[in-house]
Amino acid sequence: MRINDVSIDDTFAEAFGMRGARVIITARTLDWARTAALEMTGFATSVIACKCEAAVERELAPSDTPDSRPGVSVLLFTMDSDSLPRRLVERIGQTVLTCPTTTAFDGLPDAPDRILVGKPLRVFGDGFQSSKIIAGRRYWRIPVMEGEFLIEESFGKVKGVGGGNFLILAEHDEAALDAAEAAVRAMRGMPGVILPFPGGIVRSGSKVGSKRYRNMIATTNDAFAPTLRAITDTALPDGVNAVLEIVLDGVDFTAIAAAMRAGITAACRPGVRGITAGNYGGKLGPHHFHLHRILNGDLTPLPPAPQPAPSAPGTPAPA
Amino acid sequence: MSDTITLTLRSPVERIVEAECLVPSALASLGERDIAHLPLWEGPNQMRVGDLFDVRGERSAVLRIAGDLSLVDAVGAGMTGGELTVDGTVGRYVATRMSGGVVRIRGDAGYGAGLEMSGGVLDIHGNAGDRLGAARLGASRGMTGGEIIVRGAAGNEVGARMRRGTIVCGQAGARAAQAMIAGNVIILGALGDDPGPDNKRGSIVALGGARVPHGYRYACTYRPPHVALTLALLRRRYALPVTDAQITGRYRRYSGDLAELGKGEILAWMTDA
Repeated sequence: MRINDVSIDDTFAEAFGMRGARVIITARTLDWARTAALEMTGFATSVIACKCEAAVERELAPSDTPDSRPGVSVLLFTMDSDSLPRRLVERIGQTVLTCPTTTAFDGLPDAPDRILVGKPLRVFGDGFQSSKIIAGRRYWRIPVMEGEFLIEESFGKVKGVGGGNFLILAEHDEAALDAAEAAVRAMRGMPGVILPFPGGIVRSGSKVGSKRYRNMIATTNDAFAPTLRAITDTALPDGVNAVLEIVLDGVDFTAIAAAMRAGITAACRPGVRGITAGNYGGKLGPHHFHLHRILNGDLTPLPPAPQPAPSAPGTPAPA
Repeated sequence: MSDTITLTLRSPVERIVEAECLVPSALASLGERDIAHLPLWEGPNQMRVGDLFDVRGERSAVLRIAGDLSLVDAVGAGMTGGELTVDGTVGRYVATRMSGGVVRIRGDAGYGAGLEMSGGVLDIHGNAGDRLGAARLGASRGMTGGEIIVRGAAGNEVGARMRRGTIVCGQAGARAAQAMIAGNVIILGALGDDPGPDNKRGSIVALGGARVPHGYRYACTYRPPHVALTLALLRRRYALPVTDAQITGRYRRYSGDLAELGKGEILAWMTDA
């Protein structure tokens, strides 16, 4: 398959199950909502060391938020159910509660699985907090020096998908970056998807484990590192001198597939030799995003691949 | 089976009639004849629905009643679901102890509308009498859930002893939110004397100003986020005349009643903020 003379590998991106929540942050201005959202999603690129993956999903007009103020939608994912509320409480408590004028709402109100976030945070109010039930949902009013911080008691939890990806194989670094930026522009704001890495782009894709260091759970993806072409089992075609990766997490398979389709199409630009995807032979996860299938418009999931044997706790998803 | 059951009053009602049977869920499985046979009470005298109303439609949870029902009490009492619309005025105790569904009154409602209601929506397009959403006299709890919207004026003691839920009125009489335990009473216009006596943890939101009673003490002027959320939702759901300035504006917060817990509040909108 070729798009704009760029070769699309007949391969698949391999992704894994995650647990996710959506937080709607509103504030007096979009700038303040954005500020809180960026703080909340800081240092959340990969579960390899950040304990969660999070990013801004999209910005919201006042007409799209519960309190008619400007807002930002954030998605946060963890590898397991237990750590999701912990990460949310930590991050909202330190970055949204502390930020002027903000309010935090559940962005998945219809999700049947609920996790308590506002409830544990309420004790910051030292007994002066109070609750309100508004339209059937309980909120906590936490008095702060500026006035009050309002947060929903519980947030919805969904089984999401983490680690959707594709790699842009380019003739040189500028072409790779131009293509990756174009892909990010095409994918940003698509519903149900985040790109958790800096600017949505990864330059240091990793492989599982290490060839040399026993304790390393992820190390450089040497097969795609151009400087190692001569001394390793390279996967780089001739003429490729720079590779950038796009990693996607989403609330479901279809959201990621739709974003990958838009991103890959946008990345097929001059200077790009090929598009491929990271997979680990089916060992990593049950969700397989076949590039040709997606680009032909089929965004539905295949029947799940057999689950791999459980790995050691904390085994990360390679970027 | 019909889309709607319609009851049309044949002639004016001259004495008070109790009509607890006029509830959508009670009619949802009945045919026209069975509906016409349901009992109504005029004092100690039993009569039938068919004696007062023309019945059209059957087996529906959507009930429409047309006519002046100002002497018909307890319409929609104990309602658990479905939809009830009254094209006219209703008497006392409409939707009392209601726990679900939607009641729309296109005219006025009498004393005790939504009394001890626990869920659902009561939307009154005209005025409401005293003790809207309140407790029965002597009872410990009034409304415990749901939403009451009165687009006109409500009488005295709106939300007395209410425990949870939201009441919105165009105007309210004296002693609104008397002995309120918790919940929200929102007054879009004029608020009567002595609001919130013995209020424990309830919120009284006064968009048309309030004469704050002695049991309350000024705390601060700020933008309460729960008021913004509540007003935005109410405007979207019920097309209430709430302005952006009221949603995003500043409110003077008074804590009280200090003779009780002092965790209640009167939030008075600052028109010039």
